[in-house]
Amino acid sequence: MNAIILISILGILAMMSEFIGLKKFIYPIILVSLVGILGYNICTFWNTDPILHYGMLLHNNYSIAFGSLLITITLFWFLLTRATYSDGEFNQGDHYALILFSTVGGLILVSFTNMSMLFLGVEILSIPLYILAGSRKKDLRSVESSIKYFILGSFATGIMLLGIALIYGATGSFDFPTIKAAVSSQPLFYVGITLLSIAFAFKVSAVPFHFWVPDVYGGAPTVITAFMSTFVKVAAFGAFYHMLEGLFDSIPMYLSNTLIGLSALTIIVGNLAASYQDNVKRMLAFSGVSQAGYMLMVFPILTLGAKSSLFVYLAGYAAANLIAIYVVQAIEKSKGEASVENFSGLAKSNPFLAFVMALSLISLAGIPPAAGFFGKFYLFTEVINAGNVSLVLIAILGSLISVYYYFKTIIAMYSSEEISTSSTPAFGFTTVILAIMSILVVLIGLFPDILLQVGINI
Amino acid sequence: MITTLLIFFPLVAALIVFIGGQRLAPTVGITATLIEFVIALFAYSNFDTAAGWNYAVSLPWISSLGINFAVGMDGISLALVLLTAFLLPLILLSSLSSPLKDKKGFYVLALIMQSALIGVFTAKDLFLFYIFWELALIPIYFICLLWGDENRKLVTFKFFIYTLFGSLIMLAAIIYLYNVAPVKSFALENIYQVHLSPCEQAYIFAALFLAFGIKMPVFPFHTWQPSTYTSAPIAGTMLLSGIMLKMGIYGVLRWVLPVLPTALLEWGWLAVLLSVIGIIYASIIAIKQSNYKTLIAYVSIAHVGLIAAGLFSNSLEGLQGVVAQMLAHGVNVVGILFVVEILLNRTGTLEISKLGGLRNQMPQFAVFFVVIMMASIALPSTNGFVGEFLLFVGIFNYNPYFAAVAGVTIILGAVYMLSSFQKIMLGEAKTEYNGVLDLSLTEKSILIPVVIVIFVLGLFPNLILDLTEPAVNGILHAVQNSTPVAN
Repeated sequence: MNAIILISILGILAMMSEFIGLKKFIYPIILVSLVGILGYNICTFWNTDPILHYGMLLHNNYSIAFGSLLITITLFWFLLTRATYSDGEFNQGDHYALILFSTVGGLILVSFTNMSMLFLGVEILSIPLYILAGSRKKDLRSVESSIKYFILGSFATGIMLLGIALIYGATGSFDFPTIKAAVSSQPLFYVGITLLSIAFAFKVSAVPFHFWVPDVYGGAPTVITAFMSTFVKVAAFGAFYHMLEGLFDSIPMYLSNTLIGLSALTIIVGNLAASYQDNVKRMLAFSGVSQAGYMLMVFPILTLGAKSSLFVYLAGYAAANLIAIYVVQAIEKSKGEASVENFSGLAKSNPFLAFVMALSLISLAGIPPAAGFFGKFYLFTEVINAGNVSLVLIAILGSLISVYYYFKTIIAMYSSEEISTSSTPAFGFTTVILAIMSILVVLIGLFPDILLQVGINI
Repeated sequence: MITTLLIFFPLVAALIVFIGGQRLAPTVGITATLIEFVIALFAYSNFDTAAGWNYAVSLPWISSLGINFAVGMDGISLALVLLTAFLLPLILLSSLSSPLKDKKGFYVLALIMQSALIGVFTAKDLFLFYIFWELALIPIYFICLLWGDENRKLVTFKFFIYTLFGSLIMLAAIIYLYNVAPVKSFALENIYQVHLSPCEQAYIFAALFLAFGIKMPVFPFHTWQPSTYTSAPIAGTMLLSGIMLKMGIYGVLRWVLPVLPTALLEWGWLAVLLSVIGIIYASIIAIKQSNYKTLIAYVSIAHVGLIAAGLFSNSLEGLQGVVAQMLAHGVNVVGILFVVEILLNRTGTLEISKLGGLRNQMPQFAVFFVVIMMASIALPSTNGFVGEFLLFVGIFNYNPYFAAVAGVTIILGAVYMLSSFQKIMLGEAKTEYNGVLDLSLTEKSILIPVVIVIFVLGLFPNLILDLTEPAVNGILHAVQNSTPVAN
């Protein structure tokens, strides 16, 4: 709750920074505040009794763990995108404010216990992003991205609202405990929960509700794509699982079958589509779809292990994806477009960038020692534990396909003789950040116990 | 403790090489592998055969999932660690004379690979085993990708996808084993306690056989191998065939035989059959090869086929033969690949038809070539003979007909090795090779140890067989103990 208020204030401060003369200082202020809020959030509330705020938000270990992950992602986003904003291409104050507001939406989404807060959270998360996606105002693709995201996003929100309304009709409440107690075999309730699931499937970009992803991710400014494909995904997954956990003790048969089907379909379609992409940014967009498929595997299982594996997977995914998208942005900056050919010879012209890119792709592909491997292993363990071996086999086939497209880029970077144009390796702030993030990716992969101790307590 | 040292010392060395820079890389890299070899020899000299697992360490690693950093060495592990530690300095030395660009990168990757390989051979925890198994794949992938020939992109990609497919299927099997284990833990002792129904065993057996079979490779999963061996730099091929394929064989010894005895009895025949088919098939193709390196690749499939057949023969002789032949094959194949490297450096080609009469220009080379080749076709008194003899005894006890068919390989082996030797070395001296030099000092320093090991292990096989017998007996014991009487 405090984190939500503090970050809102920080957002307002960022918005006003332009005219109250804080423009120079707002960046360090945001960084320090985010670190402070993160520390405060963890140190004060972790492993304490859950606090219910006004019957609306529940502050427990789950919301602290996911909330801290979200704040960490925002923090790293700020660290990585420093160069872009000091160039002055975008209006720094506006962007920072919108990102911070979006963060608030994400925090609400992992702690709501009332349907109205769910709706508010989704809106607060999304509306700033509709604007940000279109922030390159003269670029047609950016505007297209914004409009597509807005229209389809509003549509999904509409469906969600209808679902909430139907559930209200069936149970007479917005409040989770009340709904849970009143769950009956009323068809109205099931229609409602299905509609809500569809809305969430849209938000987490599960097939067949993924069609907006490549255009929106591909068209939006790459810094915004970085935020959307990591932060929004974590928030949406955290919210979806939180909702299912709040409404059911165990997922009813028809819903769990739907989710399994959704997951299998997402894995297959996402991976196949990604393998056809020539542009690395679009490839990462589709890979994000397929990653959503892996994560959906544990949604039919409401156990501590499943929850914990989702958390660990999301953390690894977010770290690797942020690195990858940063490298994409660097390539776009020096060569205009992030096609696979433009990556060729990167290992020679900028070995560090090539190395972190290779590491993040290896992590996304789920190969040891990177974080992605442990995440996948843990997910698979939970799913097999729940008795669904065939779904894991589908996921394994998917991973195999994913190796094809992830390694296409790695091969281009490492095997082409072609020396690319003079993109001098700039050693500086972002290099350090990238190095830290890469170390994190390997650390999570090799010593996942740090995250697991969090995971098994949520 | 010493096991941990063996695993992590190469990693530290890799870091030092990386920091040390291009100029120091060969010196540091080779010194490090020599030190590693000395450590391995020390482990050998202090080894207590009767004690089973020596130098065992178990530290909690991912405690919430029951994963430990558990390593140790029994006889089989030690034999393979010795092989790895013995071959690495030779492989690095051999790369000195080759035209590899960016030697530093190669040494770093090779050292990382050594660490992973020793990890695979010493892991006592199934999860740890898997991590090392995958870790070994990444350096060799980059070695093939960075230093391979012009076909490398597609070829290494096929190799990677193939082996990763096997690994992922194995991962599913591992997770399944973990889930049905009495205690949630990946520890060796615990996995050995798993009791599965025959049907479950068959599935797990299929999954693990696929993973290990691709790595070895066993017919029909071998199709990645010839092209990868041909396209990779020779040092990479040495790593692949000298050490890496032993991972698959070791995996079966350690994790399949004791865990899945019923499946072994039910389906072992299929594995032996595939192996025997592979032997004949690869031998026949080998005879037809015009490129000497590709020929060696097929010869490797044939040899590994024989090892694989012995692996499933469920007898002491067969399994002892497997261990002996693993070592022999490792040493011999590195020797013969180095011969290939020398041929390529001197003549610029590996097309057998373009070579000929080199004995006249390179008499010393010819001697080494003959010895290594004889070891490779298992002449008595060389190391190849011991393993092959034991393997044939094992396979014969299992099924005489299989042994008879597999025996054809002795004849075929003589055909392809001797005829290729004849075409390359004997005959009229070709004038275009008049200026080529005989062996240099570095080259001798590689070939002499190889030849010494060939004869030492050929004449005193008990140096290794005594070491591994208790471990092999332990595995057989586990197989027979857990087999229901009804079978």
